[in-house]
Order: sequence, then structure tokens, then C-alpha cells
Amino acid sequence: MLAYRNRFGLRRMLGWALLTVLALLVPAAGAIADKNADCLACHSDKTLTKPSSGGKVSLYVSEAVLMRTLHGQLGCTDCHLGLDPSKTPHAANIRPVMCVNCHNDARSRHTSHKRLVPAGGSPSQVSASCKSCHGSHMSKPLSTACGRCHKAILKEYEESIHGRAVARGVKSAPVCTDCHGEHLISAPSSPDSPVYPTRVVATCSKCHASERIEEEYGIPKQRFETYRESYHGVANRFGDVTVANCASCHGSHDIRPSSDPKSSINKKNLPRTCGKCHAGANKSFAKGKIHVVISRSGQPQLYYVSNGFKWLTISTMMALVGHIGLDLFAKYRRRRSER
Amino acid sequence: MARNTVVREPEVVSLSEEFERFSLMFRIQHIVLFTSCVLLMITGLPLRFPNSGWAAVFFKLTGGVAASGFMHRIGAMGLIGVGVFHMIYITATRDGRHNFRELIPGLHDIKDVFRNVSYFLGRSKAGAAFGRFSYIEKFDYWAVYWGMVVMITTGLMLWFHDATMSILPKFFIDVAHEAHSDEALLATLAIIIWHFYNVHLNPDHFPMSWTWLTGKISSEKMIHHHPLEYKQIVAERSKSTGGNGREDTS
Repeated sequence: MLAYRNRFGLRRMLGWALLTVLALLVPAAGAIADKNADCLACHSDKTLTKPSSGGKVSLYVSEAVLMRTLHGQLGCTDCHLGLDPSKTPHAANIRPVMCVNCHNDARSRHTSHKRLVPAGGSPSQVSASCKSCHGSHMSKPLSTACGRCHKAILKEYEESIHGRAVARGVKSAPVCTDCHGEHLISAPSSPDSPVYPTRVVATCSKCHASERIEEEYGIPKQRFETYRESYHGVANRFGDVTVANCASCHGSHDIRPSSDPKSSINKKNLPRTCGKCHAGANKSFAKGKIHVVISRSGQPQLYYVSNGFKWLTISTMMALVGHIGLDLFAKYRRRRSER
Repeated sequence: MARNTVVREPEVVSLSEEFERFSLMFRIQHIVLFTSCVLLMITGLPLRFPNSGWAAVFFKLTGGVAASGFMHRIGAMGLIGVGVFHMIYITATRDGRHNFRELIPGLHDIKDVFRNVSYFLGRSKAGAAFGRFSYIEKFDYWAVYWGMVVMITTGLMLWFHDATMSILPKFFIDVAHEAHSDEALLATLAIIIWHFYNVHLNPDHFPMSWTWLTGKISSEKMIHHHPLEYKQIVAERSKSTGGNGREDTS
């Protein structure tokens, strides 16, 4: 009897608790929605603009796009602080958005991009502010973000094999941040940069030493291993910055396949590419493989020389060690019989 | 008498006598040779084994590939120098011509190998009897000869790589690179295993035979290791003294 009554009582209590919570939430949600609704009442108008130096600036905000982003859960005034939607127009009250108010590690994560200014900087400065890379209400595609300032490089990149792959929708193809880093972007001349001569090989190898990527996209295999076995690779490994690294021959932004007549590694262009460091480089330099894979079908001369030496070494050592062993054995036996 | 029986002739040679086995020119060449080789091996082998820990330590200590490459080329010049000198030595000096003749391998060397092996295996009572140079020493000489030809040819191709690549198709330098690296390993192993056993670790000589430095060899060792040469010297001395009486050995 008691259990039956308590069970009903518990359910009733839970029911009241739920109702209370909902009752509290709805106005809260409503408040947020209300807040945004107040802003969006004007700002969802696509024709809304304000004058600015050199013309007009759109003040349209797409709610649908906003809700899809990571910031969609926030209210307008969570970033645009100090604005009361009821007091319009509010051009005079607008304060610059300070991303660092929430992202307080932003400054330490972006120590080195030369043009960086904190988000509170003057909009007239050409700068890599938070907005210029990350966008404001919606995120920007990266090449547009970087390419806004690095225009010539963007053009080279778009014509390169990597740029074309990205344009085709290849998800593994590299964009700016894959090689230069995301937040700690240093100049290539700085040892911190992933494209510094002693680090660039590891950066390219993220894809070009990955069997999975080689298989999936049909790109040439063993690039890293063959480079590392060459003199360039050994010297580079031990810190020599004067020898060729991946970018020295293949270029950095204008990387093209060897079949492309504009490619730095096209047979016709190789003498000029090699000639950047090797005096007197001529057509003879291009006669033969650069990445050397020792195989009977690939490079038979090398294969036979390498194997020949291997067997010469093994058989010679066996003969010599055998002779030494027999000599010692005989001496040992003689000494034993003399005792 | 059997070929390998030796008779001591105290009237002609006293047991305390030491013979000069290696002349000064001979010894200097050897010293320059091994000094150059040690330098070449130390600076070269880390390039062949770049993934090893000791290579990393080596390059850190010497300041990188360029610095050790410079030292390697110094060793190379020493090797080339002694090689060129040697060519002159074996053609233009009496000592050199004599030694070279004695080093030429013959059928008797192959017989000596079989003789020694059967002796080691307990199948015969005595080992081979050697003249001035045993097949062991002949091997050392001709292996170095071969090694120097390969290493200097391929080494020069690599040193002057721009010229090599502008004249010959690239696979020539790839082959040179491979041969240089492989022969370096073979030569290093032959030295530290074979040569070092024969002159250091061999119980007959341990810790070291000093002949390479002093040039001298005792009668005892001469009789034991080079009985045929000993007999030849005795015979020559007997002839020059008419076969009776002591030769003035001062």
C-alpha cells in the first residue's frame, strides 16, 4: 500500500520539477531569441548598408549561416558588447569586437604573423586581424583569407598541382596552413617555420611519405626514402641548409608535375633548377633518375653493382673469418697437446 | 730435404741477428697510407650509416657534413699522394721493384692455402713455408691495390660531381656513389678483421709486430714466418763468403 502511493508521489514531484525548469528556460530562450530578433529585425534586411570610406558596407547578417557556425549559440550582444537593440540607430555606440574577451589565449597562439594586430586595432590598418582570417559571422575559405594579402602567391598556388587538387575537391590536398602552420606562422627563414630548410622535408613527408596517401591518389612512392638516401638528404638531415631540400627543386607554391612544361622538374628545365646551385649544370644532369630507386627493372646498373658488392663482401668475409677461425683452432689444439 | 725444412746455419747468421725487412721508404708509405685511411674511414662511414646514433654524435661533434667532408678530402689527398708515390717506388727504385716482384701471386700461393688449411685441420704435420710475402700479405697488398683504384676513381667522380654530371649521364655518378660506399665498407671490414688479426691479435704477434715501425725482424721470426727467404739470404751470404767462415755483419 505504501509503495504504491510513494511511486505516484515521486512521479508527481518529478513532473513539477520539470515544469519549473521549463518555465524558467522558456523565458530565457525567449530572451535570447528576443535579443537576436531585435537585432535581426533590421539586420536581416539584405539591403541594409552604411556609408564607409569608398562606398557602402553591407550590414546584412544571415541568421541561417550564423546558426550553423560555432558561435551560433551566442547572442549578438555577446560579441557586440554594450549595444542595446532598442536604442537605434547605434552607429555611434559601436565598439570593435574584442575576440580576446573569450579567446584569451589568442595572442599567445598567434605570436608571429608579421601583420597581426589585436582585434581591437584600427580597421583602417591592413592587418591580419582575427576577422581577416577567421571571418566574422561565417568562416572564410582559407586561401581567400591568406590570399587577400598574399595575392601573387595565391595565383601561383591556384595553378599548381596542389591548388588544382583542392579546387577539384581533393580533401587531402594541402592548403596554406598545411605547410605554414595554423596559428604560429613564421617566416620561412625562421627555424620555427615548418618550411625552414631543415624542417620542410618532414612537412612534405606528412603526405609524401604516407603509404595511404600514395595509394589513394596514385602519387609517386618512396620520395622521402630516396631523398634521404641521397647526399642531399643526408646532409640536410644533419643540419646543412645549403643542400637541396624538397622546395629547392620542386618549388613551393608553383609545384607542377614533371610533365608540365612550366614545371621546375620538367626535363627541359632541370638544368636551370640544378644550376641554381651547381655551376655548369647542363642537359646531362637530366639524363637519369633524380630519386634513385635501386631495382632490377628501374636501375639495372645500380642493382648489379650493389648486389655484386654485397656478395663480394659476404664471401670475402666468410673466407677471411674462416681462415682466422681455423688458425686459432689449430693453435689452440697445439697448445693443448703440448701441455 | 723437404721444401719446408729449415736448417739454421749459425756460422753464417747468428741467432740474435735482426734483419731489415722493411726499408724506410717502405715504412713511411705504410704510415701515410694508414693515417689517411683512418681519417677517411672515420669521416666517411657516418655518411653510409646516417640513421645510426653514433653518426649523429659524430656530426654533432665535428660540426656537420660539410666540416667532416673537408677532413675526408684531406685524407683523400693523402691516399692519392701515397698512391702516386707508390707507382714511382715500384718502378724506379731497386727496393720497390724487388718488393713488387715478391708480391706477385703465383700458383704456389694457392698450394700454400691448401697446405695451411690441411695443417689447421690437423691433416698434415707442418704448415706452408713462406718466402718474403705469404699469401696473407699478398692478399693485403692486392686488396688495397684494388680498393684504392675503386675508391680513388669513384671518389674523384664524387668530389668533382659537377664536372662528372656535366660529362656523363647521371647513372654513372649513381654507380660511383654506390661503389664508393660499398667498397668503403668492404675495405674497412677487411682491415679491422683480417689485417688486424694478422698483425695484432694473432697469438704469434700479440700485442703487435713492430716491424712496420722499426723495419726489423728477428731471425727467430724470420725462420718461423719466412723460412724460404731466410734460406735465400743464407745461400747468398754463403756464396759471397765462399761458404766458409763468418760474414762480417756489422
